[in-house]
Amino acid sequence: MDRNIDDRLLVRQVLSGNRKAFEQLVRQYEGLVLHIVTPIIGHTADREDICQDIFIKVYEKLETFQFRSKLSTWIGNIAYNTSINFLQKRKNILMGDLFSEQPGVDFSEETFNADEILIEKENTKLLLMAVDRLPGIQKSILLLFHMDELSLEEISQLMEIPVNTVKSHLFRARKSLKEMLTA
Amino acid sequence: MDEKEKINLGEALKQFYSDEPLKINLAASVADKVFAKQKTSATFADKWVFYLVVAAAITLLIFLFRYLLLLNISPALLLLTLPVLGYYWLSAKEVSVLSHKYMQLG
Repeated sequence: MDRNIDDRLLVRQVLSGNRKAFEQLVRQYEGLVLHIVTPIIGHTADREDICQDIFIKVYEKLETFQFRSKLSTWIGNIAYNTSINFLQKRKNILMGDLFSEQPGVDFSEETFNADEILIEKENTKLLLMAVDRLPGIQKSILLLFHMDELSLEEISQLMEIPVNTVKSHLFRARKSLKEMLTA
Repeated sequence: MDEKEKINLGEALKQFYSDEPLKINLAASVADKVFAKQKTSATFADKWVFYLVVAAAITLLIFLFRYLLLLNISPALLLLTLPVLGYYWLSAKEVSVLSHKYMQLG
């Protein structure tokens, strides 16, 4: 079944007060939420509370969701804003520092697509270590793009940043991975 | 020479990357919180319904007493009948709650 139709049905069931449908929604998007929360917050004890907080917000705001975007993008946006708000409260991080674009890099489609990395299967442990060393935002974008198969535009909507900034982070993440794997 | 098997980044991440799992069952714990909240607000509404029913019952009793007095029947008869009816009603309610509980467990 088409994922979007699936989501519409699921949302309708949740709004009618179906607890099982809500649990299914949480299970369906738990992975996506973790790909946003964990790189930003880290493996702290707060992760559980933040994830719970995110899905409570999802439930409370679900009535206002009009399917103008994909459900995954909408939930991801809530997850991202909740994580950033948490960080700002805790660490007083400036948003400009998190999203500064690297000047002088051409992110044309050719440059971007050419940057494909091939990994030897026996080097996967090294890859995972390298992924864990990436800065939070880069890691999150990398996981959303490759694992959750979100498009650059969807990630840009989700994080409320320009598409070029998303490309820039992804480009830098891949470049760092390549360097760490060949070092 | 053996050529080593290679996969692209996306495939490698899908196959080998996994987040450290949460220590809680997220779906169940969030559902508990969300649906407990709903239950609390329903109880608040229930209270108002309860007050209305009590007020209606008292009004009905007053009218019944007056009606019995008009018919020259002792209101004491009503005072005896009411507790008996109340007892049976509460017993029936308890039976229905228990059967519902057992059905859920089953």
